[in-house]
Amino acid sequence: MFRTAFMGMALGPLLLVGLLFGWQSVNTQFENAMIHQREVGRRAADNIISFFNAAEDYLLAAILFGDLKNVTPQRQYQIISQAINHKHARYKNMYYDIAIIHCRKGILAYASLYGESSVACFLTHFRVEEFLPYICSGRRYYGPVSFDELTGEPLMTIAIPMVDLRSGEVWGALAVNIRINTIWQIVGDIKVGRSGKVYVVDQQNRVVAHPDPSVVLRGTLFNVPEKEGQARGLSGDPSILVIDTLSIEGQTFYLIAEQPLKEALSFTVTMLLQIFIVILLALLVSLLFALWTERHMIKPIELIAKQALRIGAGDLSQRIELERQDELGRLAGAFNTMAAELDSTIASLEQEVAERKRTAIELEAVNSELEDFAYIVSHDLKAPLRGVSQLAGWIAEDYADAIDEEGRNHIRLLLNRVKRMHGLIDSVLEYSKAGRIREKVTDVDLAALMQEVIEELSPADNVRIVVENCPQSIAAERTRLKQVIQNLVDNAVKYMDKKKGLVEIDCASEAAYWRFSVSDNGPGIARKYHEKIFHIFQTLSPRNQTENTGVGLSLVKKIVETFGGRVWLKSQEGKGSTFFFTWPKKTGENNEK
Amino acid sequence: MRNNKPVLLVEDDQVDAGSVQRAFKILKITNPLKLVSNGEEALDFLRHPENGKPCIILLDLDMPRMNGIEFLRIVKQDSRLKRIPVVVLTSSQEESDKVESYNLGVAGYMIKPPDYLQLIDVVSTIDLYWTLSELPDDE
Repeated sequence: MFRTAFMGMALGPLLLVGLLFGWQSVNTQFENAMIHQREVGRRAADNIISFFNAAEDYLLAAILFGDLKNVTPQRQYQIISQAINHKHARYKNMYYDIAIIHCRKGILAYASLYGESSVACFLTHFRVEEFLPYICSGRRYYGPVSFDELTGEPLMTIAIPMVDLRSGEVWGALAVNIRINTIWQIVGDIKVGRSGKVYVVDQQNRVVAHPDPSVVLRGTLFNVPEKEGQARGLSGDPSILVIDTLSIEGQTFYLIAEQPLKEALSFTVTMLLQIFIVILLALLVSLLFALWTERHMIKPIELIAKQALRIGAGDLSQRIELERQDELGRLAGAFNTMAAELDSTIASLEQEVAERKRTAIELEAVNSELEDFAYIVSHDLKAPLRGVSQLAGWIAEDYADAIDEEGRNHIRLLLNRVKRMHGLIDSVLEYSKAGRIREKVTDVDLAALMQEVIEELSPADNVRIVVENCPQSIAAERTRLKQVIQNLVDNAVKYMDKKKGLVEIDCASEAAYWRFSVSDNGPGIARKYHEKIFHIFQTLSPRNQTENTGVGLSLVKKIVETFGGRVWLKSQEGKGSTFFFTWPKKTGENNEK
Repeated sequence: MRNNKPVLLVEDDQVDAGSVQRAFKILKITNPLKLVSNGEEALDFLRHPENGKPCIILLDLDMPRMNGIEFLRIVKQDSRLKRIPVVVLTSSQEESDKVESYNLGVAGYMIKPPDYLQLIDVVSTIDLYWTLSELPDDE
């Protein structure tokens, strides 16, 4: 495709130019030829007309000065002989023969170029009956061209009436046969291009004058075309013809300036030929150039493209072999560098991924271990506790009489401690699970969740729990969210010290978070403890006075922070506390176990 | 219980076993209480018909050699033994244990309460229930 584009690019304009030029040139040359030919023709026509005028003039002069009517026959003969044998270049051999004719008496004198003077000869050359009526009515006569049987040359009869000066009557005519071949010189002298010519054709399509005498003498006929321009010429070749019509006293001659088409348009033809050669050369050059370009540019580009495809497919092992200093060489070099860089980057990335995978697997293993550990620990720790509890109970029962008040108290405390230990183990297990075990994120129905929490807590009658402004549902891990809310509400209820307890759960929407708050009108917490209370196993009341394991708030903090939120509180001692926590609206990852 | 067939107690912990026995005594449950300490021993007992088929099995889950779940898997495949109602009596609150147990067709799942008195309630409830509930008559 590249090649054809190139060639098209080279040839197209040339062809176009050639065509346009050719067309223009032909037209112009044609016109120019016609103009030239017309000019030439005009000149020829002028000359011919001059010639006829001259011929006529002489006769007129002869008539005027000769007084032919009244002079002697010898004198008559002398005068007309002089005309025939005129020495002047202009009139030399112009007349073939000449005669003085009386309207009634007939021929009075006759002279011819060949010396004859007999009447018989005269009669063969003059058609008296034709022109006499003309003459004797006072009109000039120009006859049609006739060809002399002896010489074959064209002749034309001119007869001029002679008027008696005294009476004013026409008494006769002076008639001559003009030798048309005198015109041949005229047409012969005229150059039309190199091989063009001017010739004269009479109304009977006979060529009467031509630079080449033989053409006339052969009796060549030529059908004069109606329109001038391109036509078949005398020679038969396509030519440009310019036709001038000469009318001489009723006789019509066609003066044709002819030029062969080939010659007229020779310039154009040469030019077109040259253009054609140039086109061929251009073709050749463009072909060569296209081949060169292909080898020098396309092939390397293809190489580079192939390499790019290979790299895209993942094969980074290959390099382009292109030993060149130019732009393509640099491009190839850049590609090679890129491939090498990609290779090493991918290698290091793969390494990192492998490492991460290993780490992940390790982490997985550790997590799994921890989970088992936590479960086993809690389970196995609880079992002996249960045993202790049971045994203590049996002892109390079976040996009730043997144990005094103090002893019974001790057993009671023992059982209490056992219960606490149980709770602690559960809390620790819960706490350890909080960070590790993740569940699926679902659309949690908050109203239902709150309801559950409240019911499970079963607060005392004097404590009212209110939920406000909470959205219908949010996307979260249900168990975890419940744990947080549960613990906070549980604390609020557990520590309520007022007669009419009020716990308010409120929600607010922030850009990326939900902000929950659990407010109570309980005892409040002094500022100095605000940080401490979130520590694990931390309580603010003595351990034996409370059922609280001290894990609740630390659990809340752990869970909330695992999800990327925050927990804090505002409190006034004696008035109450508000615990806030934020829960993200979008959970980034959802780790499975 | 409905009849006087033995009750098979599968429990490895001495104290836990003792507390069930004590409960039976206090509640005056007349069914003989047969104690085995793991799944293997339990299977062994069940496979000797001269021991008599128990009317109910009380099953702990966490035992050495063969634990409760493994025992359940085997017993519930045995056409002769699979209709004996099994009540799990365990300290495990794990969801997975509950799911697995019910998948294997246990009749109940009780958590061993740390409080001795509560255990008596549990045993009493089991006795009451299985006195009311019908049992198939197979030999």
